[in-house]
Amino acid sequence: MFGFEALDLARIQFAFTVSFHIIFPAITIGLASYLMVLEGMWLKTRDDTYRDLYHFWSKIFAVNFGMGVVSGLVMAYQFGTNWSRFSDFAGAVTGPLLTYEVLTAFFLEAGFLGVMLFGWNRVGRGMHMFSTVMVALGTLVSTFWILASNSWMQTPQGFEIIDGRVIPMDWLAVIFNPSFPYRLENCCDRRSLGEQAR
Amino acid sequence: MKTETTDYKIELPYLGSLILTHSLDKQIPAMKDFPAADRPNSTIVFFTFRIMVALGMLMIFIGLWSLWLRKTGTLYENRWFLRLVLWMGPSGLVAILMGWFTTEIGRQPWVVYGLMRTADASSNHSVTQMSITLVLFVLVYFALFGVGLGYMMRLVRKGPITHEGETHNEGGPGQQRTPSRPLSAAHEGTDEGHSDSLTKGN
Repeated sequence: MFGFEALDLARIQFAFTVSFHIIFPAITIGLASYLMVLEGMWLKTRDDTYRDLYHFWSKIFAVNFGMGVVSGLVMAYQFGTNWSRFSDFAGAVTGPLLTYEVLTAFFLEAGFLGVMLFGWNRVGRGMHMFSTVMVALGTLVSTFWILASNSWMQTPQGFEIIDGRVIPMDWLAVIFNPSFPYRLENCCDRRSLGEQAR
Repeated sequence: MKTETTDYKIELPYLGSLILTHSLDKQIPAMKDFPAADRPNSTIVFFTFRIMVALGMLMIFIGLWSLWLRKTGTLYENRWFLRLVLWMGPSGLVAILMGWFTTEIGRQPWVVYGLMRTADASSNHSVTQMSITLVLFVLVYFALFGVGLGYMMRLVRKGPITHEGETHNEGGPGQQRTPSRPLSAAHEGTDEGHSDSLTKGN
């Protein structure tokens, strides 16, 4: 198509899907912390403005979260469908990191998201605040694992290559690889959203 | 890119080596030290990186400006400032994408740096197969996320339902602790016809 080779098309496809995907989690990460601040401020000051803003943004958060999950699923599948040789070679490192992300972050987020969205009148204020904090924490833990995986691709260490496959030897070295402190970028989004909201 | 030089440049000596090697005199490996087959597309990375940094600078500037306006008490009146903040809305997302492009394109031609080239990482699909799935992805994404974004924008346009100035009971026996109506957030969505004495025009 248009003189592209299959490799180029696979790269375009990944670039397209990941560019769409990254927008949603970025908003999720920024908004979750913002919601946490709003609810905390409401509990502290009892100023209804905070509560009204909380409900306004939590609706947007819910829609955005859904789109992030949907577009994220596609990313995970693509490692198998379009980049199977990458998964074969490096899956022993990237696979577990993505699994940790689902187990420690996504479960946390998705579980408490239900309480956060539907539990305002059903659980106590403390419990609801706790849920919001857990959702915010989940998004940050999620960022941690995904960036660990991506940073390892930039500056791989803590592994040995056996039979043409990467075998992790030292997980701490794999996770805390030299290029890991990347996370600043996500703060940009939080800033801009915060600025706009107030 | 062909001549391997930067046409218009401002040079800041030492700064680059300070950031990347944490010392003033160590040499950053230059692009020309790498064989041409191991270099990324420097034109794209050149611009994506600079757009990201420029947006970041602009955000810092807006932050400082807002502080100054708050001090002078015109934070919510200054039209230029408000307009700029509005236009800066998507800047965080643009900066994220630009930064992402910089890291991903900057790593090319490697998929895992130094270990596996991107060309060796893909599955052996044919051009036809890749074309069909790419077109389908583009169509489905724009349809699906177009609707999603449209719904989000509708929620944004509707704005928060405010209850400023309304009195409500602070709990106690037989009282709801919080008003129930606005709180059934997600499934209510854009509840048209929701009349509220204090929301203007909704």
